[in-house]
Amino acid sequence: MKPLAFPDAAQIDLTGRGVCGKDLQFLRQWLQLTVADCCYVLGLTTPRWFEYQNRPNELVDDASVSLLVWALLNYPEAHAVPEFPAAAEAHAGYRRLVAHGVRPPADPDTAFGLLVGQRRASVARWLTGMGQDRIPPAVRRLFLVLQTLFATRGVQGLEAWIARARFEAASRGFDFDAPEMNWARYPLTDPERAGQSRVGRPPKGAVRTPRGPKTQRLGRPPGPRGRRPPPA
Amino acid sequence: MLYPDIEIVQTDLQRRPVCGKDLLFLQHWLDLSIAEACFLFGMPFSKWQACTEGERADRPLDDIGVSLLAWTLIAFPETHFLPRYPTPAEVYPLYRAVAEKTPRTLATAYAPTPLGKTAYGLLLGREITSPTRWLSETDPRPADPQVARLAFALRGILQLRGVGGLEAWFDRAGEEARARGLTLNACMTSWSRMDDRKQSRGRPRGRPAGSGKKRRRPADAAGERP
Repeated sequence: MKPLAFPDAAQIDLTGRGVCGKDLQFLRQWLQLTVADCCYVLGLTTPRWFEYQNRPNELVDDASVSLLVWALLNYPEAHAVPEFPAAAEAHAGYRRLVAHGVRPPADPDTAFGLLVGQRRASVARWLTGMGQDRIPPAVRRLFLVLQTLFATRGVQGLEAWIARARFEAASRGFDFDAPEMNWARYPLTDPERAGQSRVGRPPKGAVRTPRGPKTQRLGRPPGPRGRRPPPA
Repeated sequence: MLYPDIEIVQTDLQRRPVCGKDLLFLQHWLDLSIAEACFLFGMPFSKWQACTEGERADRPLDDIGVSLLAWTLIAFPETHFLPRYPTPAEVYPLYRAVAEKTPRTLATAYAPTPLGKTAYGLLLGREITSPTRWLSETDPRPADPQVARLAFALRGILQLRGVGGLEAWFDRAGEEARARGLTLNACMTSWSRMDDRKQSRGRPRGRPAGSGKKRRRPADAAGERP
C-alpha cells in the first residue's frame, strides 16, 4: 500500500510519547481506509478498534499494535496490503485490450461499468474523478484483480472475464449486450422477498396495474383524508 | 464441512453462477478467518452471513461485483492479492543475523545480554517467553494476528535498512516501554505490567485494601503495648 503524504507532520510526531488511540484514527485517515479495512491491516477486532477510539488520548495497551502503527507511519516497506487502483487506471488497462478482443461488448466504454457489476453510467462519473469515494469496496478489489489478470493473461484474460459476465447475466435472465442492460434490475433470489412488488417507478412503457387495497397504517384511522369529521 | 479441490470448483463454475458456498470455499482454500475473508471480498460481516449461512449458500450472489471477484480468484489463482504474513519463526534468522552486528543490547549493569531470543519477544510486543513457543520445533504456536503483521513489518525494515532499521526499532520499543513506566532491559519480562491505568478501568485485582490482617511493621510492633 502506498503511503500518502503527511497532511501535517506535527500531528503525528511520536517522539517522546507512546502510540495512543488517536494515532490509529490518524493512520486510518492517512491511508484512506474504512474501519473494517484498518482492523484487517492492524489485525484488530472491531470491538477492540472502538475500545481504542473511545480513549483517544490513552496509550494503546497492546505494544505490538503500538509498534505496528509506528512502523506503518514511518516505513513504506512495512505495508503489506496492496493499494487498490483508481477506476481510471483499471479502465485504461481495459481499453488497451478491448480493441484486440474477438467479441468486445457493445459500447465498450460504458460496458466497463457492467463488467464490474455496476451501472453503465458509473464509468463516466468515475473517469471524471467524481464519486470515487462511492465505489463499493468489492469493486475496488475487482479493479486490482483485473489489473493483475490483464498483466498476466492479456486479451485471453479479458475475453474470459467478459464471457463470465455474459454468463452471470444470462443465468439471471439478462442479455448482457442489450443497451438497456442494468444489474440493478436483477430479479431477487430471496424467495421471502420474491412475492413483494417492485420498488421504485415502473419502467417506461409498462402497463400500470390497478393497485391492491392499501394496508392499514398505524396511527391514522381509515377514512377520508383531510379534516377530521366533527364529533357527533 | 468437506470442500472439493479447486479444479472441481473451476469446472463446476462453468455451468452455474457464483453462489455463497464459493465464498466459503475460497475462505477455506486460502485458510482465512472470517474477518480476513470479509476484507478479501470488501464486505461487512453482516453481508457475509447473509451470503453464506444456511440455504442461502446455494443461491447466486446478489452482488455481481462480488460474484465476478470470487470467480476471478477461483479461475485465476494468480490474482490473489492478500499478503501472506510470515510467522515470527520465519523472521527470526534474519533478525539474529542483523542483531549480531548492532551494539544495542538489553544489558544492565549486572547482566550483559545481547539481542537474542529474549529480546525478540519484547521487540514484537510480547513476553520474553513467547519466542520459545513460536520457535518450538515440536509444537510451534501461531502468533496473534497483530504479531504476524508486525513480523511482516520487521522483516521488510530489516531487509531494506539492516542494522539501522533494527536500531530504530529498538529505540522505538524503548520509547514505548518508557511511556508505560518500564525500562527495556534484561529485567523486563513483559509489556503487560503497565501503570495503574488498567486497574482503574474495571474491578481492582487482588485482595481489597484493609480486608485482611495488616502486616505489622517491626517499629509498630515494638512500640505497641499488649
